Amino acid sequence: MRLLPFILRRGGRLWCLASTVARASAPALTIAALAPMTGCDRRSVQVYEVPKEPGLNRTLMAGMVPVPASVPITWTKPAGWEEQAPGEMRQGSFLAHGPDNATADVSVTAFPGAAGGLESNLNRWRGQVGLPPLSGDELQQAARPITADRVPGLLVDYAAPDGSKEPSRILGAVFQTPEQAWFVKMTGPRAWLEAQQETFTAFVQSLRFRPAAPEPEGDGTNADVNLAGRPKSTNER
Amino acid sequence: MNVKTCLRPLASLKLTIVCLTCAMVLVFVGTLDQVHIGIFEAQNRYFKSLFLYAPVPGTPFSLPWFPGGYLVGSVLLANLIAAHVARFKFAWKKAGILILHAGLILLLVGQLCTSLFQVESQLRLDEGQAKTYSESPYFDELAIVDKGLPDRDRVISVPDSMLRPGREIPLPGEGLKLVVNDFYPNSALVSPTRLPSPSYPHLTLGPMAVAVPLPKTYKQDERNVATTAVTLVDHGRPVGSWSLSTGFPQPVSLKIGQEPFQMTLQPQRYYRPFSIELLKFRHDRYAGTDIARNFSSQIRLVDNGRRENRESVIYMNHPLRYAGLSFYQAGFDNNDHTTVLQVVQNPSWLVPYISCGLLVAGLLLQFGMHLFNFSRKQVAR
Repeated sequence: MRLLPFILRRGGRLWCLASTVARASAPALTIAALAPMTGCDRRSVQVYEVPKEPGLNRTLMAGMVPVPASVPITWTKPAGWEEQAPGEMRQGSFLAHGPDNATADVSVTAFPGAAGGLESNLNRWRGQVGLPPLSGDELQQAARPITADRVPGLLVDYAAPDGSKEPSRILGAVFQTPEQAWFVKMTGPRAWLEAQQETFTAFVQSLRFRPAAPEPEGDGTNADVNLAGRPKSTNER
Repeated sequence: MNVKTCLRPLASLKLTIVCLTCAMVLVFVGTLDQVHIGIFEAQNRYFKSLFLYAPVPGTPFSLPWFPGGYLVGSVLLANLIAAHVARFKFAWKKAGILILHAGLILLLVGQLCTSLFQVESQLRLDEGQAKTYSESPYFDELAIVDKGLPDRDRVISVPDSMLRPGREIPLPGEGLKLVVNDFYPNSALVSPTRLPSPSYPHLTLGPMAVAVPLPKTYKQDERNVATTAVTLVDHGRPVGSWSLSTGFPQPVSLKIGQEPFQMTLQPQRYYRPFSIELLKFRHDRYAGTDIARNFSSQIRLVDNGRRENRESVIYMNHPLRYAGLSFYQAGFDNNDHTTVLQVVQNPSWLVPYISCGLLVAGLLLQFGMHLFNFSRKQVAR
């Protein structure tokens, strides 16, 4: 006769019932003793202290622009775009020069909360190129979903109707983080924006949001929210 | 009955054959299933387990149907040790075999230690960015951060495995507890207008996103996006309720009493007493082609405690080893401006090298002695 351990699993836990009618044998007892160990979750609530982000030693390379901890967004500037000094309202400002003196203006702005709501802001953009306003549902249907830094947003493309005096177009992206609404807007001639569509999308996807610093001493542990996404493996050739 | 007699059944060669056969079956089935469930889940189910389980239809239970890697490995180890004890007779002629088997035992023990104690995480850095922590590619944590301290943050980390709907988790700190209202191990973030109906299960994350539950993904190139709805309770009074998602990792700010806090659901973090900054990532290609030739990350390591401040280059098969950690080049992103380093903490990383050395020494000694005896006999003829 041998000891017969009955082992059942439910959820992440193991239930071990050893038969008492059988004669114990050393190996089986060992198994019975080990079985519940694998059912136990070794992870538990932990408490630890970490330095606030400014405690890090950041070394700047030649040519790198220091980014203060209070700047809540970073990006990768596309080649060919000319960076402008950010204005009072603008977190980022660029000019994209194209053929035949075509120039597109790119702005990155942020406003606290929902900044008046998605509907009114997108309809304001539509009005700027002479398009009629749409309802909230229609606006959502006409937009393309996009994510930047894993924050879901909307990508829109509004072109002025044919016959407009000044043919122009707006490529835009809107994101809502818990504290701020973000607007990325590219305005310029139709044909030049058509050629810039992919560049604009890549720029939007390169955005990295950080929460606005709630305290003057700067952002802390959770400030850096650059989450591992789906990077390419160096094993893929 | 002495010890040797007792150990004879455990030292049986038949048991060795059964264990080796089981190990072969495990490797075969596990490798096939890896296609569907990915390497991490396959390792957990087939090799880092005592049994393989099959669900019992109509019940929440599952029953073991085949020994798992831990059981097969443990029995094989016990079998090997018992065989040595039961049949141990020291003779110079058998020194090679003894060393060989010592190497095998060490290999098995080392593998067990690796699977129990190895921690793997990833360090994702944009150029110019420095971090003092790496993140788990598999596990998440709900981090409640006390922002009220002057120069440090106090983090209460609740692992995702504890976030089961309906569970009340007491937190360190008087009278504080977390109530889990809902938890999706994997979810998709969609626009609220895309919900099939308002009653479709979802958690609202903001005006432009809701999370809908999805089956867990096991694909190599995908990560589960966990979403949870929690209520924080302070001395029996609710502080507030929030929906949090790893796909939307912006922390929410809140106050407990007068203390400012932040809460976020994020990949499990492993903090280190040093920082690593990415200075430059290089993705070299063969001239005139798009075929990758080399990936390398030039980093700066700063450890004020050890007065370390130096640059290092990490590239394929050339990891950085520091403070018991190995940093391997693993991936890249963001138009070659972001690097992903695999961070491996394995206290028993030397054991396989030592055991392989023992195996080679044992084989050389054993066959060397045979060769020596053979040559001697040939000369004597």
